[in-house]
Order: sequence, then structure tokens, then C-alpha cells
Amino acid sequence: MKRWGLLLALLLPLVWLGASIVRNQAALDEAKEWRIPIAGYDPRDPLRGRYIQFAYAWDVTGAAAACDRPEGCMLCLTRDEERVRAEVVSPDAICEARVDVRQSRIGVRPGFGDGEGPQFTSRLFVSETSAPELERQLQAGPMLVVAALAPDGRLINRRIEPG
Amino acid sequence: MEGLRHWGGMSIDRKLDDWVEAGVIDAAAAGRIRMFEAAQARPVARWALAGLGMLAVALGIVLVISANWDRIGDSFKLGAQLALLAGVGAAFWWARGGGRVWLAEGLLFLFAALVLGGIALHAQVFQLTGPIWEALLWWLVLAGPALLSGGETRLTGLAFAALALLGPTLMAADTVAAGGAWRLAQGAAMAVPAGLIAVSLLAGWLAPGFRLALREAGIVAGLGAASIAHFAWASNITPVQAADNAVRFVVPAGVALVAILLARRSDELPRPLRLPLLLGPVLAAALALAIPHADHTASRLIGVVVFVGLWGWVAQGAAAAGWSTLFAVAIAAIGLRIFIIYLELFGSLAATGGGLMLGGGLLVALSWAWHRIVTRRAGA
Repeated sequence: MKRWGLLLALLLPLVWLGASIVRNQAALDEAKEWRIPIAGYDPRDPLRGRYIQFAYAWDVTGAAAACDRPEGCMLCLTRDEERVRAEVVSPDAICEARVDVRQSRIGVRPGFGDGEGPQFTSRLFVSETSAPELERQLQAGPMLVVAALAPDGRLINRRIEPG
Repeated sequence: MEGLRHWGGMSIDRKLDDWVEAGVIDAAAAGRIRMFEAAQARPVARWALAGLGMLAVALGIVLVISANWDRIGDSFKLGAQLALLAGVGAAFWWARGGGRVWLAEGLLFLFAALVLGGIALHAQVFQLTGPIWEALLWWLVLAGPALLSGGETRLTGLAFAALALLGPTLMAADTVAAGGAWRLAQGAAMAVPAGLIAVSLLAGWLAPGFRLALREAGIVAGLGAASIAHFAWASNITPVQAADNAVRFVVPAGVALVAILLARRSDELPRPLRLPLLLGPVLAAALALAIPHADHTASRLIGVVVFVGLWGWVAQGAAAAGWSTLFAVAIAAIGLRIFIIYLELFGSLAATGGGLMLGGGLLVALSWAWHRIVTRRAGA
């Protein structure tokens, strides 16, 4: 009995990590690609390494203040030439590209100025070797994040490139 | 509780020579004592060195993974990590079955480190953002059962204690502004030290060395947390904050009571130490955090009294139980706190001077009390 318990305990991380790989890869396979302008900087995480912390530079419309609540909000993304519009919509609204802010782990920070809407922040883990170059590019000019929008509403950042 | 009882016979040879020279014991008795001590000796330094080496390997694994090698394909990295994890798990199974305890312990420690590495790699590949404590809580959930069911010595016991303390502590610190049910989650994090002691007393099927590490870590973390919490006496605690903290303390108080009940059934935690070690830290921290007060000289002095009361209670229990190392630590904590009492009275040269004189006088009184306890024990 004790041996079986130990065997299960050893298999637990293998099974969980394996199942998570399958789940996340399936979400990415079905995802649609979005290219969203960003502004950001480059800090470091002791566990997961270097990352780019950035704010999505999309045009927000609707009741964005609602996104600051713990339950988050839904954003409906649409393209307007080079710009991306993000409209705050109700969970049951019809939308082709819906982003679940809470599931996507997008941070919502209050805007700085009067009438300024909230900032939607996220991060992208990058390699130690590419981080300095990305940091230089972020300071030099406009950048955009290439993100995959999974059917369940998760916006998964994939890479950052000059805009 | 080997570690908290005494540091071991570091200078026993020199002491024995002195005793023989002074005619307290004869050379034959000294020889017998040396043989006995040699048989009892435990290579604490060697174990500590091996543990430090394993910790360095574990940190190295995490840092190598955190470098996030973009020239290696994601599928290869994920596959290699899973294969390595499975290989180390299988090697642990083999070593444990063959009775190679220390090899098995090292491999289990490595297994736990690789689980953390796997979680970090996972986050990089699939861009799973979120606070770092979430990853550390997953580490506890995924590697904790293997450590609990497979660990046999202090090495893996301390690894489990570190897992149990790290993630919840960071979670509590990061979410402290959140109210509602988060307060109970923060309370659960505050209950981990007493919880570790409770598990060590409850889980008789675990190896003695593993349980010893849980108890030691629980005692050190509990007393350490209460000592840090006493600095809250030097800040404003509003009625709202005090009420929130009172809700948080429900969980640690409940777990401490359960641990006290479990300790009554066991002789592993001596009776004189049960209340000071299990109830004392919760009580001292609750007084500092769950009672509204302003930052004032009076509240700071109350904080000193509570701190000295806690450690004095621990010292009394340690003296009665014969835990000389814990007794010395408690007296040192009291001495240090009294020495810096002038910080509470700081305001002018006269106040600082008065505080130093008061602190010095109390230290002299403390050394006298220490002398009394030691001579009373020697005469008993």
C-alpha cells in the first residue's frame, strides 16, 4: 500500500506536467494569431528568467473600469488597419475574437491622467541571450506582441518584434 | 530534538583533559566517555555540507532553466525535462529498494528540484504568467507528496518544510491587500509552522529523521515569525486592520490547538514546551496584529514586554525540558531585544541614555536569573 502511494506520488508531477503540455499545446493549435502594439520594459524573475513586462497599446472602448474588479472582464478585439480595438463587452455578447482578461492573466492598472482608461499589462518570458536586444528595441521604437487567441478566450503571448 | 537540545560535543576532548587534570574524573573514565561519545557522534557537519551541495545543484537546475535557451526547440526542452524527471524518479525507486538511503535521499531531493524546474520551463514555453507564488504552490502540490511518502532523513524533511513555507508565505505577502476569503488563505499560510509540528506528531509512519526536521522547521519558523510580527507594535494598526487580522488568526489558532492535542499523545514534544512553542507564537503575534493601537512609546514598550514574555516562556520550558540550545537561543533573543530597548525610548540624548541604562540593568538582571536557573538545575 505504501509502495503504491509512493509510486503515485512520483507519477503525479509527470502526469500533471504531461497533461498540461497537451492542454496548452491544443489551445495554441486552435488559436488565431493577433499582432498588438505594445510599450514595455525588461525585468527579471528568479524562477522563470528574463521577461518583457508590457502594456497592450490597443484602443479601449466601453466600461473599462469594470476590468479592474477581481472577476475581470471580456474584451472583444477588432482590427482597424494597423490599430487594434478592444471593446469591453458582456460575457454573453457575440464576438469573434473575445479575450478573457482574468484567464489571460492580464493585469489591469488604473490610468495615470484624468479620463485616462486603465492599462492592460502582461509579460513575455524571453531568453537570457535575446533580452538585451529586445530591451534596446523597446527603447528605440514601436514594438508589437504576436499573441495567440485560444478558443477559451486566453490570449497567449508568443513573441515580440518591431512594429 | 537533537538540534535544539545541544550542538554536540565539539570540545569534549579538551573538556575531558581539563577534568582529568583537575581530578574530577580519572583517565579511565575519560576514555570510556570518549568511546561513548564517538559511538553517539553524528556527522552533522558532513550532512550539512552534503545538504548545501544538493541545494546548490537544485538552484543551479532552476537557474539553467530560467536562462530560457531559445536555440533549443520547445518540444525538445519539455521532452528532455520529462525524461530527466522520470529517470531520476526511477533511480530513486531503485536506490530506495536497494536500501541505499543517502543515494535515495539525494535523488528524491533532485526529483523535487526537477519538478520546480519543470514548472518554470512550462511557464516559459506556454507563457504562463501570474505571480511566482502560484508556481511555488504548484511545486508544493506536485513534489510534496513524493517527499512526504518517500523522504527518510532531515535532508528531504527540510526540503518539504521549505516547500510548505515558501509558497504560502509569498502568497500571503502578495495578497495582503485582498480581503474576503483571501484572509483565510493568508491564515492558512500563517498556520504552516504549527501545521508542520502537527504533521510530525501525527504521521508516525514517517521516518524519525524526516519528522524531526518538520518539527525543527516548525519551531524555528513559528518563533521567527512571532518575533518579526512584534515589530507591528511600532506601527499603527487600525480597527479595520485589527479585525482583518483577527479573522486571519482563526486558522493558525485552530491548527495550534490541534497540534497541542496531538502533542499530549506523544512524548516527542516535552510537556513544558508544548504551550510556549505552539500557543506562544500565535498569541504573541495576535497581540501585535489583532489589537488596534497607534505607534507610540507605550505600545512599543508593550511590544518589548510581549516579546520578552514569549521568549521567557520558551526559556522556562526549555530549562524544564533540558533543551539547552533552545534555552540559550531564548536567553540570547531576550538579551538582544533588551539591549536595543533604547530604540523604543529614542527621542533625545537623555531618553536614549535612560533607555541604555534601563536596558543594561535588565541585562544584568537577566544574567543573574540565568545563573540562578543553571545553579538550580545543577543542584537538582
